[in-house]
Amino acid sequence: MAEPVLEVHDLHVTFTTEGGLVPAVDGIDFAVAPGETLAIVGESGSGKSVSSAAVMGLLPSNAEVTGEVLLDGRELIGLPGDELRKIRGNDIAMVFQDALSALNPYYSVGWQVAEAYRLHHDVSKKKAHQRAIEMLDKVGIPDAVRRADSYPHEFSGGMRQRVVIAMALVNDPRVLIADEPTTALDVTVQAQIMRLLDDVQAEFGTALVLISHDLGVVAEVADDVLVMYAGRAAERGTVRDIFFRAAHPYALGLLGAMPRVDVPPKPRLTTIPGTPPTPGSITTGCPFQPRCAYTHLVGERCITERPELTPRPGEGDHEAACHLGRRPEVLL
Amino acid sequence: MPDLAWFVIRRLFGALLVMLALSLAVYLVFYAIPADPARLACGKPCTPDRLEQARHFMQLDQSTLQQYLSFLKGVFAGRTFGDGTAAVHCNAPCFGYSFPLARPVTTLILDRLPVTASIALGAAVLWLLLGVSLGVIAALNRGRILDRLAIGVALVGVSTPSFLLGLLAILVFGFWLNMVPVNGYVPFTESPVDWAWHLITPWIVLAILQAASYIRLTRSQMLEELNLDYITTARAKGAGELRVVLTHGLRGVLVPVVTLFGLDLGGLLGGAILTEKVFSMQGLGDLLITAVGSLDVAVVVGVTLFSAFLIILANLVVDIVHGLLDPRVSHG
Repeated sequence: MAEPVLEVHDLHVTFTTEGGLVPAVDGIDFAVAPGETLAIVGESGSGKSVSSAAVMGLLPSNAEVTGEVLLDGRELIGLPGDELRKIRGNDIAMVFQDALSALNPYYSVGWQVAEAYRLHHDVSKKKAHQRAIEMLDKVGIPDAVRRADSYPHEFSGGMRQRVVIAMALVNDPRVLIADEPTTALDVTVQAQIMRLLDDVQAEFGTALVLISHDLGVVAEVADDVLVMYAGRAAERGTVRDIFFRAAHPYALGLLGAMPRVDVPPKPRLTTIPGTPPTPGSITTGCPFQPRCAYTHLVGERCITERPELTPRPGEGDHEAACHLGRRPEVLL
Repeated sequence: MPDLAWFVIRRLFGALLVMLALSLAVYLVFYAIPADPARLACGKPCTPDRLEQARHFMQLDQSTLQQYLSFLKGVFAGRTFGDGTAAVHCNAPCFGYSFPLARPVTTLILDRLPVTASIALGAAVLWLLLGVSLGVIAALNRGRILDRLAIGVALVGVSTPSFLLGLLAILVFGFWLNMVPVNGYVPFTESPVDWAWHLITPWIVLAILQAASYIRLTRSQMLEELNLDYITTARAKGAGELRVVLTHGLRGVLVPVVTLFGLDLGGLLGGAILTEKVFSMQGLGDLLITAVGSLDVAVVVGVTLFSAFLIILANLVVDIVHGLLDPRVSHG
C-alpha cells in the first residue's frame, strides 16, 4: 500500500448525554492511500457515520474525541476551529446519504457548488460560477450552464447526488468521505453514482472512504474493508480477505445475509438473529457474543474477555477480533 | 416574471371578492346597532319633523340593503347627500360621509394615515431587527445566559400592556429625564428630524412589545434549522459559523417571520389605537375610537374596511415575498 494520506489511530468518540457517557466509537484504526478505497461496513449504530463525522470535526459539542486523525501526517484532533475549517471541504470533503436534505433548498445548485469553491479560493463570484459549471458538467449534469441556475427540488435523486459530488470535488480534495452515497437512490441510479465516484477517483487520485452497508457495492469498488460492530473493529483486511477469508462470525453473518444471484435462492433471506447492542451496554466480553452462533465452540471467554484484533491468514494486514482462532466452517 | 404578474392579478381579484363580502358584513353589523346617528345630528330639542329630515338627509330612511348599494355606488361613482344648496358631495372613491366631522371618510382616513403609517413603519423596522437578531443570538447560545436573557425580554414584552409601557416611557424619558417630547406629531415634510424625534418613544415602546413574538419565533425556528442536514453540509464545505447561521440558516427562518411580520404590520397600519391614545397622536386608531364614541358609523365602517384591506394587502405581499425567499414556491 502506498503512503496513506489519511490515518486514524485509536479513535474514541464518547457522547455526554443525560443518561451518562455513551461510547459510540471505541478505538478504531484505519488508513487510506491516494487513489484507494476503504469501505467501512456495519449495521446502523455501529459507529461508522460517527467515525467519519469525527474525522471531519463535525460532531456536536457534547462529543469527546480522542486518538489520532492524521492528514498527511498532520494531527487534526484538537486543531483550532479556524484551521480545521480550512481543511474541511478543501482537503477532506464529504458526500452525504440524502442529497435532497444535504442541499440547501433556498439556493441554486450552481451557487452552492460555487460557494464551496469560493470558501477556499479567493476568486470572483463569476469565476467561481464558471468553475461550478465545469464541475457540474464533469459529474454528468446535462446542460450544466442552464441547470446551474436550477434549485435542488428541480432535480431527480440521482442528479442531486451528482450535484453533491460536484460540490465535494470542486476543491480537488485529497480525501473524499462518502457516507452511504447510494442508499437513497434507485438501484440503476446507484450503479451510475458508484461508477461516477470510481471515475473521479481514478482521475483525481482521491482517497475514498466509503461508508456503506451494501456489500455488493463494497465488493465492487473497495480495496480495503473495515467491518465495524458496536463501535469497534470486528474485522479488517483487503476486500478479498473479507469476501473470501472472513474470520469474524459477524462478517460472515453479513456476507450470508447478502442475497446472491449465483446460488439458488433460499425461501427467506438469511438474517443475523438479535439486534446490535446499544452503545455502552456491553462492558465485558465480546460485543457480538449475544448474537454469535459460535460461542459454544469457545465458551466462557466470549463473555468475560473482550477479543482484540489478531492477525489472520490473508493478503496483508488481515485481522479479526474473535476468540475463535480458526475460521468457522459451519456456515460454508 | 409573467408568472408573478398573473399571480398578483389573480390574488387582487380574489381580494376584491373578499372585500365585497366583508363590506356587506361590516355594513350589516354596524347598521344593526340599536342607536340612531340621525338623533345625534338632530340636536336638542329634536322635533319628530327635524329627526325625519335628518334621517332623509343622511339617507337613513332607506332600507339597509338600499343603503349598502348606495354605499357601493359611492365607492365607484361618488355620492351626494341632500339636494339644492344644502347638498353635500362625496367624491369617488366615497367610503361614506361623516356628518359629525363634516368630511368624507376617505379624506379623513387619508389625513390620518401618515401619522399611523409613521408610527407603524418605524416601529416595524425596529422590532424586526430587534426580534430577529435577539432570536438568532438566543438560538446560538441555547441554554446559556444570553438565551435566558432574550427569553426574559420576550416574556416581559409579550405580557406588558402597551399603555403601561407607553406611560412608563413617557414618565421616565419624557418627564423625569426630559430627553424626548411627551406627545404630539410633526409631519415628516415639515421637519424630518422633529418627526423622528417625536416618534422615537412610541417606536421603541411598540418595538419592545412586538419584538417578543419575533424573538421566540426566530429562536425556535433557528434551532430547528440548525439541525437540518444542509447546515451540516455547509459546515462540511468549510463555511465559518457566522456564514452557516446567516447565509444558510437565516433564509429558512425568515419565511415564517415574514408571514408574522406582514400580518402584524398590516394590522398596525389600520390604527395603533392604544399607542396613539397614550402618545396623543391623531392617527387612524384615534379616529376610530372617537368615531365609536360619537356614533359616527360611516367612519367606523370606513376605518374597519380600510384595516381589512390592509390585512388582505399584507397577505398578498407576504405571498410574493415567500416566492422571492423560497424557490420551491416560485419554481414550483
